[in-house]
Amino acid sequence: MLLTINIWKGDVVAESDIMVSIQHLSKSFGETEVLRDVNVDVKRGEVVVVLGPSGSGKSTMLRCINLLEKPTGGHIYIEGEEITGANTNVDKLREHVGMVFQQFNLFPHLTAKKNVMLAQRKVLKRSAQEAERIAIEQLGRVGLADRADFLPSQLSGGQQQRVAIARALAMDPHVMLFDEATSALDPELVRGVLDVMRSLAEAGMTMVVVTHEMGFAREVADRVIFMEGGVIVEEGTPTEVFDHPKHNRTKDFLGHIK
Amino acid sequence: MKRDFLRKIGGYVFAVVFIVAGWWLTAIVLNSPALPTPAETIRVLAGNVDVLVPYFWTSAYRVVVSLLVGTLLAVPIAQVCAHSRTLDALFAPVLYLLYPIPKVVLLPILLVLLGLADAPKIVLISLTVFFQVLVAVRDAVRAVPESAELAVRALGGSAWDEYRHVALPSTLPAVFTSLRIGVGTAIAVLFIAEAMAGSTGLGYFIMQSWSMVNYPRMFAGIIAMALLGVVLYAVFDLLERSLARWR
Repeated sequence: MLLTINIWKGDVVAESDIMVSIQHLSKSFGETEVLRDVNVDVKRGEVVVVLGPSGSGKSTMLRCINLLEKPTGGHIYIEGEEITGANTNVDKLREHVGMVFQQFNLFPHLTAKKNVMLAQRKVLKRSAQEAERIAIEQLGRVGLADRADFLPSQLSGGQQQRVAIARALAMDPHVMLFDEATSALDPELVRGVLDVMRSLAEAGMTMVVVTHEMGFAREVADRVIFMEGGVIVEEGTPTEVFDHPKHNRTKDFLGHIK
Repeated sequence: MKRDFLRKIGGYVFAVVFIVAGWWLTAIVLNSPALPTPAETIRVLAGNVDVLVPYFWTSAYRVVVSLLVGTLLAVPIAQVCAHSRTLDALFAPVLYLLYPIPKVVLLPILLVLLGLADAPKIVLISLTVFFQVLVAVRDAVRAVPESAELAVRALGGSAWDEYRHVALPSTLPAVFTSLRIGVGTAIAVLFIAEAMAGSTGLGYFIMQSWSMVNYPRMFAGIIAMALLGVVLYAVFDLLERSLARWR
């Protein structure tokens, strides 16, 4: 898969090296505390993989980054701008934060190309020609140039998820969030999606990835975060976390996964 | 493509032949004036077209208006119910109790309140359609995964975008399915309403012919009513295929 975008890597390091800064983030649903004092900084071009058992708060943390969930406490900054303040422009924020979900959520009535075009037209107000050009470019990037005119129902789950990635990329995001993007896929389809994610990482995209794919985490992550019970238990390089975990809970989790 | 089309047409031709043959056989075996043969019916139908047409249009008008009114009222309410827990908690029990009541039992009340013309029939059929569409669409909206809405919001879409590009396309097939099923019920209710009150519509035509012991004429009316059902069913089928093509 050939990638054309290289602007993130080594672009602006001087101004601000921190792409996403999560400070003392907490989130409760009623009485239930889902996140407790979570602190994460994601550098520009960095790939952070978040691991943890279900219910550990990792998806909620991800959703707080583009305010799909409203934090109960703490601060989040994206490219130096606080998004948890009172007068955040949510639409503006979401333009720069792409997200891919476990369910592919394509528009069932639109072809792959139209799926990638729609938000460009409606949200970014791009012209039809420009949106189409970018859609074809992004579909090529995820290896689906020849499926541009197919409906979601005519595509495999893995192909649908790649269209969803192309749709997010077409919005020129500065950071991409992946929420268990391969969990709903049959095993044989997981690989194609992971390959796309890997090539994105290699092209220097800033990524926060919630996944259960340990192989991907080990190979692609710059940093691995292990969460449980709404707190960050341990973080470090893949080698540190996978080969020399310090905490028993991490060891237990990795033991279960293996 | 062409082959599929021919196969389909062939299927329908076979079906018509099958039905007509069965009818013919039954008519010969029964040998009763109540069931004329197809040939006799066609003759009477041809002879009565002039008389039948106004009755047909009256009935068609009533059913089509009712289907429209029922659907247009049900769809927005269904969307609201599916999206608001509070409203749904309020309405769901009401719906649960009212849905199984055969609306046709309200006919005498409607006749007293609204007279004998179009109004009571349209209200009655609209009510029948309303509940069917309401339940089907509400459940279809609920079946849309929450993440589909999140995906639209994550792309920067508004509440309207969410409705236009997620809720509407995912519920449209349910609307058409409930309408296709509803056509049968709607025409049954129409028949009863027209047979019971007033002097217009195919239901009246059929029962009037029956009371005059003019069975061929009665049968022509029955065929016309069946035709109305088939035509409406086919129209909704075609609409669904052109508007909800992705299925």
